[in-house]
Amino acid sequence: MTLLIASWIAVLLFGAWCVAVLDNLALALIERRSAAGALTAPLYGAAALLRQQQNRTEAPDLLNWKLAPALYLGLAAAGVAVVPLAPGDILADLQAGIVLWGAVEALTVVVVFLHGWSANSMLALIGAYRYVAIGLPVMLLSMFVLIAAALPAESLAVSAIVESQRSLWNVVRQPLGLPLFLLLGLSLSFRGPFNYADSADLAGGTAAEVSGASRLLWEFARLAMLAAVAAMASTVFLGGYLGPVLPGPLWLLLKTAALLIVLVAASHLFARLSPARMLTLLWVVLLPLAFVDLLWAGVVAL
Amino acid sequence: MAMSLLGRFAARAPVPVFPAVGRDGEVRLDVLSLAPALRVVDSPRHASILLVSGDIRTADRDSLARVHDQLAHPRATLWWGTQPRADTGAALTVAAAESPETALRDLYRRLLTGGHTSETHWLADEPPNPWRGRGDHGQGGEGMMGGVPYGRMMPMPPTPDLRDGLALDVYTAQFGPFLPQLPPGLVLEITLQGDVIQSAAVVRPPFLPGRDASAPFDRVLHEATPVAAIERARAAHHLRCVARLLGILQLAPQAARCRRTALKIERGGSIDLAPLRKTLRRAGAFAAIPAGLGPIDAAWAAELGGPAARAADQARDRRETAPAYRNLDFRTLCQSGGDVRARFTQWLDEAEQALALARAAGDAAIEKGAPVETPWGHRAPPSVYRLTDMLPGLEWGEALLTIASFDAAAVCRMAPLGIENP
Repeated sequence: MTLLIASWIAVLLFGAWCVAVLDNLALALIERRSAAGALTAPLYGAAALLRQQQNRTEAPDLLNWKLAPALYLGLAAAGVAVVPLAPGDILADLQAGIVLWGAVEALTVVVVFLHGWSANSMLALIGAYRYVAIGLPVMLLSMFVLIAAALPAESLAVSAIVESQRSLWNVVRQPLGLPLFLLLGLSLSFRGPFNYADSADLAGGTAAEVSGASRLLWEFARLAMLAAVAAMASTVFLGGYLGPVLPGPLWLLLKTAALLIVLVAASHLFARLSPARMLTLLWVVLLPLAFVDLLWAGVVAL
Repeated sequence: MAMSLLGRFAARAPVPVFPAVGRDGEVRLDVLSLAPALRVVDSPRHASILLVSGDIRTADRDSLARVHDQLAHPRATLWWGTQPRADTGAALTVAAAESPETALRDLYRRLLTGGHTSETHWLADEPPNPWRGRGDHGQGGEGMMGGVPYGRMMPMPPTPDLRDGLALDVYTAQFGPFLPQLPPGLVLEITLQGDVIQSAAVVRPPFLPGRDASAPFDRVLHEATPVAAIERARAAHHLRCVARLLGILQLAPQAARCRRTALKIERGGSIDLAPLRKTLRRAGAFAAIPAGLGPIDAAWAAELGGPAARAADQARDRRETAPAYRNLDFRTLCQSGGDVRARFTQWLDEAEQALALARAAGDAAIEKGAPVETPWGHRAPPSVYRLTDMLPGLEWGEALLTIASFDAAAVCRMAPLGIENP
């Protein structure tokens, strides 16, 4: 159990560091500049934020403002807890692990809204409003694809979903599932084309007023959440720890890393649509696609 | 020990700088945004150093002090090519012609290791609303409903939403003059419902194109100027405009690449813009701008002139008849849309064309005093067409895209003074 808890913390810390390094490499590549120092930059950046004062805005909802980053990190941690590292090695082997993941998605919308709203600041509030509008349909989309992934396993337990992929990975069985779930990943950590909460046009959005350790915690939680999504996606769609020769956890690590590269690249390579057009895209194109995915999985399972 | 180790680690991080841009202070900032040891941030809360670049208007001094006081400790201010505030004591300054990179790095290191004392507030630390503590719970309101909680936005009666009819609280605030997403100097008082703009008014106008940007074009007034120099300056200007739009589309690295390319062009490098354009197309930059956003009609376009007019199919360009361009096979490029996407495409097209002209021009020069096509619209008295009329009904990001799709001269003419004097 101690080893499991240690690996759980390591996944969050190492995952967040990996995402930060990948971000630096992607930025250097696109900007066509040197990527020197990409490995250590996240650590130095964290130290700089720790040395910075935590500011106050005028009359914030202080409890929620300070709590939101910790809650967000807690949600990322809860998401990782249902991911099996090897057969039987799972921190929270819940019968309804997928439902817990669904709760993580739903509560993320609440926590991000609280973060933006409680600062008592215009730009942060606009970010909060926007995130709720986009976050809700994206969450619905992921519910469809996760239920579809649970159908072949005839179980809501994440470990059972992995075992159901021994003959065939879900990414082959339900090819629409993985890309749709990765979109959710971008939305849960509000990155690139799905960054409606902390975007550049809002000078940082919900985090526009946050400095010091609170900001470090918030940014760390965003990175950890992306790592959690990648770990979950590799478990549900790429067979998780399943694979020949190498030990199970290593397979999980490799698959997660591969998905992280895809997610980080997508964060920096694509422009963001305006919220209204994204809403249309979500409701008119992506949600029906997710429903087709579910229907497909249902017919195959029959 | 632990603190000093943390300080040493922190000092190796890129210096977080918030630029407060005054008159003539914008173009030179591009050099900074490309320095790997610096990180230009969008919010003063994320910065440790306030870099004041360019002249600060009298009307903007209070805003500057407010921005300064939002920086988290430890903090410091560096004045770049501008006069420091009279009451700041031993202010740190850098001449406009010098790069402040070394000074910024040194200042940040000293701030973190205790060699430089963190600056105190410039404004009195008192509540802007004098009614703190009133009401039964000190919430600031009185009466049966308890009033407005202290410091909260003043709720106004919900009005029908301009987008989908969903009524949210309406709130009003001033944005600018240092909000990086708005043209420098522009202060808008905007009433929002959710993220949709209900109304907007100009409080302070933006600055005209700065000295650095207009220098190559002003040079023609005094001496014969090579066509290549003029066209390079045009390409660099247009790429900077493109970069601003890309930033709003959440394409920061692509925007940085545009700025880097603009600098290379100014320094005489031979650049092919086709790969950059391909990157932007693949990123969906064109498609991400809503079709028909921020349209201007023919009369409006004719009044503004410059690339904005050509993006609305008004084929007017002084280069068509200029003797210096006669052998360069110049033809006026136009778009048909007259919207944000057309203006964005026009800037890219004209930048590519300008570089081709610069390559083909050889020693050709524009005679002293000859009329020259500048990269922006006509400089003329305020237009009857107003930017603030375009914004109601637009979502925040769309409104910023619309504003950023006009050059500085056009924005100046469309955003004249509204409420108070500068």
